[in-house]
Amino acid sequence: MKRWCMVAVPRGSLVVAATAVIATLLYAPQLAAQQTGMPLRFFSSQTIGRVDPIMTQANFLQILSNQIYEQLVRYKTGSWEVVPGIAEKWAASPDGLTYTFTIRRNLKFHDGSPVTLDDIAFSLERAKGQGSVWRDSYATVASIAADRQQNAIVLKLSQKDPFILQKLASIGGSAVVPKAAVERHGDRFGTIPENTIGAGPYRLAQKTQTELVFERFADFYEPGTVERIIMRIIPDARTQRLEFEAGNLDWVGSILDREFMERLRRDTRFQKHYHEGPAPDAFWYGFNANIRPFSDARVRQAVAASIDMEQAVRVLGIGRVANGLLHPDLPGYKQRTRVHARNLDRARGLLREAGLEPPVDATLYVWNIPSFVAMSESIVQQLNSSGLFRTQMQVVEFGTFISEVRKGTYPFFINLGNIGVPDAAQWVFNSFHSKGTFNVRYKNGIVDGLLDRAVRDPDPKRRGELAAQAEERILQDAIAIPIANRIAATVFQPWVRGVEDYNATAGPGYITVRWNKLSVDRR
Amino acid sequence: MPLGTVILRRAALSIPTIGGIAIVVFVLLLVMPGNPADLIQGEMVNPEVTQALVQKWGLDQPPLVRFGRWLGSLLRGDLGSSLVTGRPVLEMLGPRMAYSAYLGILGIAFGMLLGIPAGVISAVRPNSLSDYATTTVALAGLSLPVFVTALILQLILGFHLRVLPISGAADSLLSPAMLLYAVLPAISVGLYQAAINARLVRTTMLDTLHQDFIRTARAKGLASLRVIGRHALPNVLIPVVTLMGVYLRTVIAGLLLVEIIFAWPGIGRLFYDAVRQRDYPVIQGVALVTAVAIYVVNLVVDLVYTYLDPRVRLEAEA
Repeated sequence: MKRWCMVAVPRGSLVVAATAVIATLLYAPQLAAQQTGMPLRFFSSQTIGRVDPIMTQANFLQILSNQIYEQLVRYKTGSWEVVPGIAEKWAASPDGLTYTFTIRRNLKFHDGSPVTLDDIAFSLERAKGQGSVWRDSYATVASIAADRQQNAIVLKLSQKDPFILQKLASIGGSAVVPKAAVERHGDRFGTIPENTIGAGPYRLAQKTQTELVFERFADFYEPGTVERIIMRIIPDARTQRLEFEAGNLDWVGSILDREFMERLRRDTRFQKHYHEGPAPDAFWYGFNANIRPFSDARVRQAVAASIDMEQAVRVLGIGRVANGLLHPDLPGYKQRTRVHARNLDRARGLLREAGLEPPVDATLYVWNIPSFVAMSESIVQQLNSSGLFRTQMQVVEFGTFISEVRKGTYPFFINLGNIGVPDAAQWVFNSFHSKGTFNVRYKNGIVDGLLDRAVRDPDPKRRGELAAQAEERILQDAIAIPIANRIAATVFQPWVRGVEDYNATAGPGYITVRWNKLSVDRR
Repeated sequence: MPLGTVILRRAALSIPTIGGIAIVVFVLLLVMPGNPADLIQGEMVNPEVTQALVQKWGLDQPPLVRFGRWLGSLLRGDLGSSLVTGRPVLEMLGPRMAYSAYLGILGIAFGMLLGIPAGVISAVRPNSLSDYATTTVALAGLSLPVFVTALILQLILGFHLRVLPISGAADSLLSPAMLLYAVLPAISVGLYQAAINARLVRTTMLDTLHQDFIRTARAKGLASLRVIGRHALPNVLIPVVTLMGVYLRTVIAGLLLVEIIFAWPGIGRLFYDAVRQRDYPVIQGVALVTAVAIYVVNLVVDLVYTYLDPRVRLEAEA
């Protein structure tokens, strides 16, 4: 039998097999030890290319930006409250047009260079400049200047902006970078440890093919206990979950899996370590008002009146039915009854008025997140079973989806938009004003008028009220059918301390978690 | 024909093929929906930012100008730079290729190690219990898609038994721990090959064992193991080697899925990320380098084939 093997098996393969067995025996204990070490371990499903604050709006990059770069001001973890960052305090002039930010002294960047007023002014100008994703946030900022005598940065506004602090607190919105390093590295700034330089609590120490390693920055002005953070790149959602359940990861930032969520809710070990709350986004089915038959409001209303959203959201499993477009955290939010509740007779009448003979053909475009697809299947089934529509669904990956929606080629699609700052007026303006940045090809003079007034109004409450009036019109017009307030969920392993007393999913959500406020004790 | 001439001739013949692949990939990218300038911004796409980035990257240039520029760089040995990281594509490809090659070689080794002996045993004792077992397992191996195999292995050996890592890779390919990380993905990649090898070796071996030269060897009084090992097996291995070129394509396709499931930092995952982010230079680079790699491996397979089967060489010389 022994000779059999010698004859039939290539010798090289035997060597490989033997080495594998020996390595397994020798290194398994070592590997186990690595897995029970003390750094905080989490993951990103996306490969990290560049962490440059002016290009950082996606959540997976904001998590990192929040640790690497310190901002002028920032959000308190799990809250919309703005707290000091590089600015230790600030004051607004009585007319609300000048903000003076007093800067902490003796701050350093990760490369040891001092944080200067010039660096701060440069960073804010950069965020305001062309090519920055924060450009819109600085629309009301007329000038940025350094006041050396007061050791302060002075922002002059062109009009009163009640949300300017929140805009600056958005992760990446006022992140401070070293001017010299940015000028030296250009487009490569933020790509590798050598050129990723901030003044935040953690510095990028290592970037390998498999993980990013962060080390605590000793010169940061706040103390921290977690010395090292390891962020692994794990693209597959199922693998991420297995790694967490096996104890190899300490934190899952955003859970989109309904079954996993339900399991964590029941598991008493995670009682104080599983957080959930309304996600800071709005979720709706949208129409392109330039494409027939949805250019006719009656057809859109007929679609809305053919859907039982309760049923669809049960399938989604990670949200609660929303009857409006405003997020519960936004001023102006109110509990509504559904404007176009399911009523098939009314829907049939609307189609008749529009001169259309059922079934009307429609294609719903959905991006490929399993829970979104499942819910949309339920919508398609409802529309088709009504006999009023002949709907098909196209599932597309995110890259295609986002570009095609922006180009305006999809007539009927799912939409999920982050609310950014808790300003109802700006949020509704961005999506539904004819000049809004993310407009879905909708133009309504009354809505435009209300929103123009809303974004100019310095009083947050009145802004909210005007936005709510615009929302009412939008819902009547059925250019968007609200779906749900999505539930954001995040979970830490029970051995992660410092997360028990707040809800990490509140406010802007899990992206605001600061690692230096955590500690890890796997004993 | 001298070996050097054969290689040079094949290399010259590869130029139009690889050039054709470069054109096809470029055209596919032109018609591919999605825009890297949108994707780099996340969910909230600001058209002004998109416009600025499109201009900066030269994506607003006519396709011919873009292709010409890329080809010019290629001729200078430059595959361009990633739109996302700004890093040169060649610099990104190197380590990723090494990770994929490591996994691919282990997968193929596993496929050989398991498939060839299984096929031989099955053929030597046809219709026996071992034959039925081998055939059944081979059929299962052929029927299970790579991602199903991967998930089963991950769940049983990684999660429940905890004898191997669920996912990941060591930082260095030279690290002995790397083998631990590679076991499950390599089995996932290699199982299909093992199944094909087992079936192919079984069939070929059954044929070979009835050939005259085997009867002669037995008549000369050679031991059964020697007959099989020295006389039958080299003949059986010829179709296995011939299929190596085909295997490679299957392995590369399998690697794409396996690298995602096991978080393995190879070229498949690089390609997946690049497509998701519409990082055009990286997509073009991966496609081109993969095409060249397949071409080179096929050339090597052909050369090995002539070594294993002298008749091929003699025919060529004649």
